Amino acid sequence: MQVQRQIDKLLAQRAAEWMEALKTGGAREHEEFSAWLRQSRLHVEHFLEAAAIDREIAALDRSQCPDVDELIARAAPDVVMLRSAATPPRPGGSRMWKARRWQLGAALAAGVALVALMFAHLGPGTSWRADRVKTATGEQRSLTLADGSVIALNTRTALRIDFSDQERSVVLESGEAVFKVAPSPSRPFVVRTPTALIRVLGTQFNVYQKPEGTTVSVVEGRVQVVQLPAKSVRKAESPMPVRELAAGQEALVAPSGTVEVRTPPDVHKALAWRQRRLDFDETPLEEIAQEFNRYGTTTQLRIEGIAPGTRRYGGVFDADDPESFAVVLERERDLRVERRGKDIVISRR
Amino acid sequence: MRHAPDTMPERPRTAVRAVSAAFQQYAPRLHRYLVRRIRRTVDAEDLTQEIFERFLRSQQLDAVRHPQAYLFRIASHVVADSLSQDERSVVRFDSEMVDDADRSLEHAMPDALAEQLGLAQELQRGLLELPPMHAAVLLLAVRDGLSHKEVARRTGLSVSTVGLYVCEARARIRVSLEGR
Repeated sequence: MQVQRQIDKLLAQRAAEWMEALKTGGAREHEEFSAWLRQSRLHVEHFLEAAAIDREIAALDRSQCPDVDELIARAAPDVVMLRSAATPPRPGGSRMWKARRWQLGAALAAGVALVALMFAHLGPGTSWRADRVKTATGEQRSLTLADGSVIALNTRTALRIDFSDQERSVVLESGEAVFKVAPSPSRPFVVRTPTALIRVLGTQFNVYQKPEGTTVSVVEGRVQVVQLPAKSVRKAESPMPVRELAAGQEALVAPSGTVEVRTPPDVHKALAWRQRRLDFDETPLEEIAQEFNRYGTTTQLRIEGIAPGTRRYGGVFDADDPESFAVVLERERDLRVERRGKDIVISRR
Repeated sequence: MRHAPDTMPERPRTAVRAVSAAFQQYAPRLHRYLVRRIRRTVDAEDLTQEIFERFLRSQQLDAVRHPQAYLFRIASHVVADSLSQDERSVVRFDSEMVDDADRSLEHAMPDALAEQLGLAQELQRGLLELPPMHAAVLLLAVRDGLSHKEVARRTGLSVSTVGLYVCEARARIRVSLEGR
């Protein structure tokens, strides 16, 4: 019995290995696998079981599984992973799961227990190479860098990380990210966007790269904003004047070259996306739709025949739930809200 | 399914897609196969024997070139055949079998559902019994479909360790299911 169990274990292991090998293997692996199957009925049995188990696991409901972030944290208590939402959450995902994600966000904001995460191909001792990170529609993730700085990426964001001994460089190619920068005066942290360059000494700020320019919102500390002439994203030196932003301030750097500094009532609102909340205040309808659509992988809000800027709304919404906003609009007598397939279409009555 | 006598070796990516497509197609029947195997229902060994023999008999190129897809196809046919036999045997009872009829209906109908639900629960229990990193790797790689490289990045493990953990975790889940 004992021996049989041992054999079972070995065969299960071998079958599992074939599952992996076949994913990348070529003609030779397939031949070897075929030969292995022909050796024994038990081989066939174990392989079919391994395949079936994979299929069962793939079909498991996310809310019924242990939380991956928690598992990782439990396995290595000195490494705290702050990636908040790996994949677009399924509709009707459990509240528990959402709550946990919020806690992670809170831990991040508080700067609790942030430990360096090395990228897989960068062993200790090797120098940092450029690394590109992207998020898909609806995805948010956090990275803890080797220096202890944390970058949280919002949906549809692409950035490049390039650390050297002189400079910690991040190029925000598109999208939005919040930066919590570990202090290191000798090695400035520099964020570049197509229109702006932001130099930091240790602070927390949000950068949102939109077609109409770059918005920088400073939550803690001070940052310098340099407006870049077009196409010189990689150059640190710039002829444009330096603007310094203090905590609570926000700057919009337009591609045309204008820098508009303002002090919004609550600069923390710029970070609302970290909790997958959308916070609107007298915001034009078309902008609200655009924000929801940035997260939505399925439902999209479409506006038909309503002039931009003519209708404004405020409120806090769950970014994953455009339906909740549609319900608000349905109360408007002069608007028509229709579900067409996956889209919610808003038009005038 | 016939394949043109191609001269170029198939690129791995295409192969992966072909395999997962085949898998998707036959998945529901493989599910029933697994349930039967694990419950050790009487006929499960016969099923495997039949699948094995058909695989041995096959002279087709497919068996060598796409052994996985080919095996799934055979398995799904064998399982489908046996299912239709089961249905017949439940429906066709005569007066002598009336006494057994209640019992056999009772067995055949709700069992399928109960088994499906039970299996998901046992998998979840199996996941909890794994070392946490093994469970995390298995969920990321198999449930979420991330590549080993992506899993490595997410967990901080090396790519080769991820490969190792996926296999170990899968094998342990299998053994834990059997133990019940």
